[in-house]
Amino acid sequence: MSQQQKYAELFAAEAREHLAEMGRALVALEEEPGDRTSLDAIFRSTHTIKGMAAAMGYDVPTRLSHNIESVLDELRSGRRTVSADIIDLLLETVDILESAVEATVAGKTPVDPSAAIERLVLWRLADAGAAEPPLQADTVAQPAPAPEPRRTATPVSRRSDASRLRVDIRRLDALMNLMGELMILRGELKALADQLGAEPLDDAVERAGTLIGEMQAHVVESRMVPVWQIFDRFPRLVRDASRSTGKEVEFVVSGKQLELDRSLLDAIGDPLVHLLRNAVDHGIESPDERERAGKPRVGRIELGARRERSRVVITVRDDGRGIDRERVIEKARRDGLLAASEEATDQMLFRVMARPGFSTAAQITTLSGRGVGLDVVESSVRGLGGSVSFRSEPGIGTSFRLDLPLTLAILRALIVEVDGQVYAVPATFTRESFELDAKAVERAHGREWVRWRGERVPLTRLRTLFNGGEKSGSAREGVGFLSLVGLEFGESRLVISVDEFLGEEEIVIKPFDPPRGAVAVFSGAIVRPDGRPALVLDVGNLS
Amino acid sequence: MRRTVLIVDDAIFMRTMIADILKGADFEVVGEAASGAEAVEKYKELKPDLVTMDIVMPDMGGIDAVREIIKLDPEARILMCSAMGQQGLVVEAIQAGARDFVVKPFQPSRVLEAVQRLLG
Repeated sequence: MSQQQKYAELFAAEAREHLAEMGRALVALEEEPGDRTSLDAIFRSTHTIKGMAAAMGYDVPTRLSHNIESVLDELRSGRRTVSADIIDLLLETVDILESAVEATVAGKTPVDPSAAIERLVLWRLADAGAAEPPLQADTVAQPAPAPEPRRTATPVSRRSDASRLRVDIRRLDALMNLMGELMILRGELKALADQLGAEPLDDAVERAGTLIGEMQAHVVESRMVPVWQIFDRFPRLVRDASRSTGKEVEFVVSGKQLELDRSLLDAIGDPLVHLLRNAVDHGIESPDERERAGKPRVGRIELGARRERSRVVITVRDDGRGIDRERVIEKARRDGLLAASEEATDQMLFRVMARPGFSTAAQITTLSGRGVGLDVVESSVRGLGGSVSFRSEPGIGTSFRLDLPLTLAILRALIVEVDGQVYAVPATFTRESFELDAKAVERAHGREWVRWRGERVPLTRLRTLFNGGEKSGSAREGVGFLSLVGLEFGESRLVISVDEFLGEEEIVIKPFDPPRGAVAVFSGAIVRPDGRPALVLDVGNLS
Repeated sequence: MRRTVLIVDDAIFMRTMIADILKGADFEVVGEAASGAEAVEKYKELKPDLVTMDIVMPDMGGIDAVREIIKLDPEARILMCSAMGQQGLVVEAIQAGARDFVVKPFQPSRVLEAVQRLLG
């Protein structure tokens, strides 16, 4: 990599962070116009971008940030007060600066900044105090109560000690891939050593295995980043969406410190944008409508992240009007997506709404108020080995829940055998494996059920499923004991039956394109320690 | 003997660039700091021959850091690295004890010139 290229990449990475910080701090400043900390943070970020851009000889970003800085000087010195107008202007200019930075780094010609600069200069020249009421905290959005403190007072990635290193994600990806290969090799070695039965070899393989395990933990760790790195973009998004739709929204974020694999975090950005936009556009009612319904004028949207066992749960919840179930059901029945006898659970509704094309029916979108891009949300989360569930109550609100694995590339999985074939069930969703007397299986509503953890839960026999509904090997049915796996995804539960448990393994998932027409219950393939492939069950799609 | 330098700037980008310029002139970068407070700590620990100091940083700016370092070591050699439009602050930094300044964007030759003068 040339020196110039190295600088350009460093510049781009750092500038992006500062741009995100500027957006975040501007929204915070709007909520609390007297907040000196936010004002100073915006100033420092602008200043840093200016210095870096100047050093790179990037003219347009330099001029833009220089002019933003001049406006900030007016505010910092107290000569001018923070108004809604200047926040708007600054946010717009930050967007232009961002596009200029990206264009410049990509070697393209950035937009002409003169119009933006002119507006900043005009603002500075305008008669201070004339027709510019100071911004009230309650005009746009209510400040969130007690924002969660960060672990350190400042974001780790930017302001902490110089002993931290910025590493290109591609290097970490490469490391992770090699780690995956090494994990497979570890399994092969272990199998070989077992075959040969030589004790010194066993010991060496055992020790190497332990070291590889530790190394893997470190590699995984090095890829973890706190979710605020993307959550911090969202206050701005919610603010802009609520402004443009005339809604009033209080946006509350929790669990920002939770850490996730970098590539997972990148991948859930867009789905979350969809869900948040939908919540503002379609979930939250207009202030007047809310008042008529006896609700507070200001709607509330909550975004939260938390750890639950070996998975991460992200929730997006609004207190809006909820989904018009009748409309969705009616439409689904008409289109043959839902049988007349079929019970319409929330999960079923989600399935229906998340079908590609379903949402684009204008009638449904405007009437039911949901569905925009849900198929996109579903498929991206599914692609990450996660699941989406959903709950909605008319007049009370809607919540979405994303269940995600902690990391992408390496998963713990339960290895099972069905009909002579080996399959992997990601541990993200497995709660426990257990055995049950086959006589305890109940039949109701045209399917089988078992009692699990005090609840009646649907049972899916993988053997039946894989054989296209044919009950091959029915000798086992109703006799002896069933080997079962209890699964939980979101708020749903399902029990699957397998022929045999083969144990738990760390698996490295390889991307997988299912052949057209195949049963859509596999999310990927893995290579077993003996070198043979096995399919990974897409648990969310089993029920 | 190679001379030692402590580089203070909140942007990794800037630290990298300054480090590259100075390494090319046979300096040894013994430490980096991302804030004024960190700079003071590192100075105590490393006693470098030279400090390059940014002005605008979180958690104690460059000028306060100059004051603190000069208190510890009146002989400290500190070179301010400022962006355009900070003449007032540069003057303040010099009054606080900084020896010289360079303005971003840096010309490597200008930086090295300032450094030689300062250590000479």
